[in-house]
Amino acid sequence: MSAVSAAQGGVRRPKRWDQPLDPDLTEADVDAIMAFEPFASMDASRFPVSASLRDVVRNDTRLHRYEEGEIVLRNGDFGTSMFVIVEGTIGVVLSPNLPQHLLGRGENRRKSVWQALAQVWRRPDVPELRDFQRRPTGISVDARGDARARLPDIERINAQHNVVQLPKGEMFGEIAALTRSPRLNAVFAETPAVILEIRRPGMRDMLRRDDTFRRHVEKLYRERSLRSHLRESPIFAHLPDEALDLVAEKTLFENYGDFDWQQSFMRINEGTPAERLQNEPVIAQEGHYPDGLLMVRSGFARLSRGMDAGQKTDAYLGAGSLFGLQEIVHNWRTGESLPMQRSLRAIGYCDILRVPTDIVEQYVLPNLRAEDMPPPLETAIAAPAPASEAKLPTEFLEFMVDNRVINGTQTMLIDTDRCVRCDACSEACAVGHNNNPRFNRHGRRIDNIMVANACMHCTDPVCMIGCPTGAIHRNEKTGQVIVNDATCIGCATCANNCPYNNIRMVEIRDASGAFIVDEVTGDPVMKSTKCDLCADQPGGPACQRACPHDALIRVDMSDVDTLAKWLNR
Amino acid sequence: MTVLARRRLRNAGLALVFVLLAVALGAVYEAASLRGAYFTGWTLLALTLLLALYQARKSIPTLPIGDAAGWLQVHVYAGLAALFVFFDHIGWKLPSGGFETMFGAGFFLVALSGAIGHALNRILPPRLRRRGEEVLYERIPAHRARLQADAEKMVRDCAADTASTMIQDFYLQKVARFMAEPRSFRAHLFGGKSEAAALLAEMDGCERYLGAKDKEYLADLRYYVERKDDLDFHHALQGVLKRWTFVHVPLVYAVLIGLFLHLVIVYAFSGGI
Repeated sequence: MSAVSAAQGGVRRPKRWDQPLDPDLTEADVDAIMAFEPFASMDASRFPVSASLRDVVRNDTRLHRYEEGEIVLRNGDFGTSMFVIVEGTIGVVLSPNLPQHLLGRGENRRKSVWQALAQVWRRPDVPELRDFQRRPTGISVDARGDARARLPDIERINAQHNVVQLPKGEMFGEIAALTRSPRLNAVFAETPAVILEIRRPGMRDMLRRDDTFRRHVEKLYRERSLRSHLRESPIFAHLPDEALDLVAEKTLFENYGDFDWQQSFMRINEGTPAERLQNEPVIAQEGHYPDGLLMVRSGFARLSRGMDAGQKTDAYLGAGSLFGLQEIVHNWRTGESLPMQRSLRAIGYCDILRVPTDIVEQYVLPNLRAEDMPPPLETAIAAPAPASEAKLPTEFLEFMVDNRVINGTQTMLIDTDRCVRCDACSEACAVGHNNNPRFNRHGRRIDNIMVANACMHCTDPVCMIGCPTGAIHRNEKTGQVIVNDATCIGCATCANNCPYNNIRMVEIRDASGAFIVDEVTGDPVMKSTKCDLCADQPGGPACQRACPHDALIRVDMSDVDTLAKWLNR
Repeated sequence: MTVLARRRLRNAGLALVFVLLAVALGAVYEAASLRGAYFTGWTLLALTLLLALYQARKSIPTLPIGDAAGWLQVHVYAGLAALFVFFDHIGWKLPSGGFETMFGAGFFLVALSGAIGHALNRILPPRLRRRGEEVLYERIPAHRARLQADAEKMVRDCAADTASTMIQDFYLQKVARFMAEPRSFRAHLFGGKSEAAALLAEMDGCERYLGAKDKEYLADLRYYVERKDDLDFHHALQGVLKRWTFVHVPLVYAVLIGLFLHLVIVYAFSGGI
């Protein structure tokens, strides 16, 4: 809601479909899509008038046309859409995965010691110097202006990789869209194809309103992903297979919050704490009966307790975290009906797996090892918060949650009580990055701790959504989110997506220092730049190592112990 | 005890052990009639080169050769150790001769400037953090120019809007000069009453004579003066943090040159010892 006052005339409240996924979709296109599965079998009357099935199709779908060999999805991409094949045949690469260079990603080779040393005296006088060539072959632009990458030899790919072909009418990408996890497989057009993209809000409506569709997607998820998700938790890791199957069958899937949280985050964050809380849907309420063991499947949640008229944050929970186990175990042991001791709220968005309490008591707790049992609740009440979280000051915790810094796996924190403002960190970054540092020694501050404007390599990297060439990607081994400069076309999708303004678009220059411009429009050619954790340098992140005063750290916000140790050093 | 306090204690202890060892070995050399000053001299040379390597390390940030914080610890405590070894080397008395006196003074000043700089690095940042918004040093002139432009626009609006010229006159006579350039360097650095405090006090004094509208403009003027004072504060303290090395580092180069000359002189007149 805009903060403009009524006295200034107000602004129109933003609405869900202010930006349809495909503004060029005509009513005739909508008619054609409605006649296609899964829409044709859906009961349109089950959709509300305010968000009818036709509205969902008109606003949350988009038709893509692919030429033979063009890449539809890349393994490792983060996506929030599922797809339906309208025409043509699609190839899904099962194994081995396509090599990185075919997917628009660089090989991320580290420089040698000599090359790293040579950077010192080979620093150009101007920033962002590029040995620019034409856009690499394999990337073309379609009639709509969308960039496409094309595989060079699909016959060879079919011969060398295990490729499954999907014909017209098949769906794919449901699970990654549902869970916002990386795509497991690359997908390309075996023949010229037309594909319908359905973005997640539309998919969510379909899941809610159509039982057949929901059962289909949930069945896929239960079969392919749920068991492995459950096994990742120590609570379920040692269950016998039969017990795990029963648990998986009875587990409920719940979604809270706004998947596109990054678009409204800055606006919401300007409000009061009470207003921010109102935008965080309640998943579980303090004082209510614990009717299920909750596991965070993706996203983040705020763990809080009521304090006067507000909520005091005790911790933040990420993927894999459990909620409600202590209360359930306590009640199971004592026969009491102790309610939830804290509340759980979705921050941004949060997907929850809920295992009903009776299932937990029947199949999980009897099989739980002693070392996996949670501490007794009486002890926990005496120490109000989990031990590690209690080491973080409350104001710091509230600040980190409110500003969604908890998303970071390499958040740059600067202790301004020790920082002498020497810019050694910026200088070190510039040495390794075309004479232009990839971060700003500036940002929001809580007490003496500043969260600098540097890429946090987020757990939920919303910057990666929608990159047309795959230039921005996550390194599967190291987890770094990196932009491949060669295949970046400067569209700024990533920069616009980043809710923390940590990605910068820069003009690039040639050897003479002049801006490189587009030969048609005359506009400067832009590239996306951000911290890459010095992926190509032998020593790793130069910023932290360059600080002489222990003022700067790159820290995983889920590693509360390391964070607390640094704050209390 | 915090991690950093433990580190200080450990490193100070190591430096102390090193100094005691160096002094003891020097005494052994002296007792063996081998001129203990040669031993302490070479020890000092090694320490000085080690100290100088810190600057080289800062120039190569991308190599995995230890982090700068660790190197600074070595630099600080090796510097402390070097100071004690230096006093032992000169026999805890003033050097004789013009060159030796200058060289000795230079060495001492390097150590002193380093110690003062290190103290500034610990004292000034918390003061910066507690005052005003964090501002990058290089952007302070741009911020100052914008504040000045905004203040002048406000004064012009006030003149057009009200019948009183008090604020306009006050700005032209007293505030304009204040807004144009960095002020109150000593007051901000050492603590004391800055020029802004005096201006604000004057504004408080003349507020009683103003009408309601003028009072609003005066409140705006107060805001600009306070923001400008914050900028001056940051400019003063960040400036000192950036510039103290311009005293320390040139002295180091002078000492390195002196060290080379001292070595030549000592061995030229050593008589084969």
